[in-house]
Amino acid sequence: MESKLARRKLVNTVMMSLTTMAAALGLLVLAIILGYLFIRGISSFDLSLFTQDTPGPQEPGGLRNAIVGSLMMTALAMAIGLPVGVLAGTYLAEYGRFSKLSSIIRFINDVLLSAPSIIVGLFVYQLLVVTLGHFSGYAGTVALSILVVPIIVRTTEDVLRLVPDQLREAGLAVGVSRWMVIRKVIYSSARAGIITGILLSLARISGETAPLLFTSLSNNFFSWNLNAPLASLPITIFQFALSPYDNWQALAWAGALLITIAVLSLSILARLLTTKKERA
Amino acid sequence: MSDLLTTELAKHQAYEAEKAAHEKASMEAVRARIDVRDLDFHYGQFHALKKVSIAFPEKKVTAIIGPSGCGKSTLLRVLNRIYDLYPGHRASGQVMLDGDNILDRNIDLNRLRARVGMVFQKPTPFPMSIYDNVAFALRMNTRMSRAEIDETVKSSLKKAAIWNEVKDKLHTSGLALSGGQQQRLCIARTIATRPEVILFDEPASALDPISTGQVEETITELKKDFTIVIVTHNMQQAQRISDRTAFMYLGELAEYGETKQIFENPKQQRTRDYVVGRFG
Repeated sequence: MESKLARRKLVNTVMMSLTTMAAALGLLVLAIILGYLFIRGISSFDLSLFTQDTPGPQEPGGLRNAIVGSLMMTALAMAIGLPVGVLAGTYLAEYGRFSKLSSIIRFINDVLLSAPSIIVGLFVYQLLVVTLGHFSGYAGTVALSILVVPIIVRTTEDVLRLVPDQLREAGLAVGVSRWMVIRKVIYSSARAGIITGILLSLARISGETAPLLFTSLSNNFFSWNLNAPLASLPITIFQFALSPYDNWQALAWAGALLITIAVLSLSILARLLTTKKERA
Repeated sequence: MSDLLTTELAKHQAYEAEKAAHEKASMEAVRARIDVRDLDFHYGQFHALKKVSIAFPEKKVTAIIGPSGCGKSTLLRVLNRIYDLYPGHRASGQVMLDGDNILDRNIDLNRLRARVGMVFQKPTPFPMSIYDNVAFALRMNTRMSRAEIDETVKSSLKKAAIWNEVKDKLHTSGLALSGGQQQRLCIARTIATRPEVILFDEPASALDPISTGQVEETITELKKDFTIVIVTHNMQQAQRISDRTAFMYLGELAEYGETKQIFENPKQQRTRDYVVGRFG
């Protein structure tokens, strides 16, 4: 009896140490990556990053064209993906909750959610780049929006399902149409969760490289033209980091830091929104 | 001796007959607002209501009592067809409201629910201000002017006996109120649409005794203007506020009559056992 208890205590101590070590290891790796990124990136992180375009080898310059290109494609991709995602999520959670079609859509959406982004890039390459004969910002936008939709569909459906049925019934019980109940009652209760999903999808696509490689390619010059190859931060980082030039490598680090800061801010914002909701 | 007994017995019988006739007359004097005839209800395979026929008299409070799972909430949820939200929930038979069978396929559900309001077990304020909670259905379903809405919101909150507590904070969130206040807000929201019938599904079971008392008082007040049907687990509550009581058992209407008669002199042994708390 005594020895059994001692053994259990020992096993418990061992398991506790193992789990703590695993958690610490994960955190340590993350801290090293972030720390290294910060040290390497901060040296060329200055105003010229935002005011000058990508330079030639060994010339001074910044990332303005890449930043603008990324912002344009991301914004447009969100403008397409957000309404489609939220409406489709609403269909799955509300109108079509019990329908056969929903279970099919849900399955396909889950497949799309875990599909490697390079496949999405190849698909859009075939669809738009090959048929139109040139790389373009539009193709990049389409690829990014295809990545956005399944994330928003999933999170929207999940948070709408968390809204208690009683609230749905109460809304309908005052004689208001289904859509008005969804818009005024259900969306309000689920707002923080829906916005969190949107922010997370935004964070996800702002670092995507593979789908842009086959679609928007890149551009060394400043451009507003979405119908031509367009620079973007991830591609520029990819290109510059692999180059032998010191100044390009330094810019790659600064760009990586920039994306990390943006994504981190979005995640923190999303986190703030969810905790605020829990308190209410 | 035996003569005396016979006369007494005859007297008593005459008295009983007169009383029964009187009761019948008083029942016919009040018009039935909702007339349920041969109602069957299925949850998928489960037969929840079996050939239930019951008439709810106008401007009276009718209580539905019975052990858990007897079908009393189901019956209530048929009266505004809120069950329609879920697949596999089927009702057949007739439920007449002003000459319309509300089970008809082409009944306008939004209009029906504006005519037959419902207050739920758990308070379900919408995630909006106190004022908007009451004004919501008015804005959606009527062409009332701003002043008319103001007036209706005020009179509804007064009728629900919560005006004095909220008149200074009409534009704060309805979620910030206490449970009892939230429930009276839900009552105000329901009467704002000027329904003919109000259904209460155990409206006080989630409230403390003081709030329960307030809600009961409100219901008694509402009887002047509305036909009320209330499902309750609380025998004392049924006795305090209802005019008529229906006892349901295993999906059937076991006994229905004046509340006093059901509680003091039930015709069936099962009803007697239930109202004195021998089972349930």
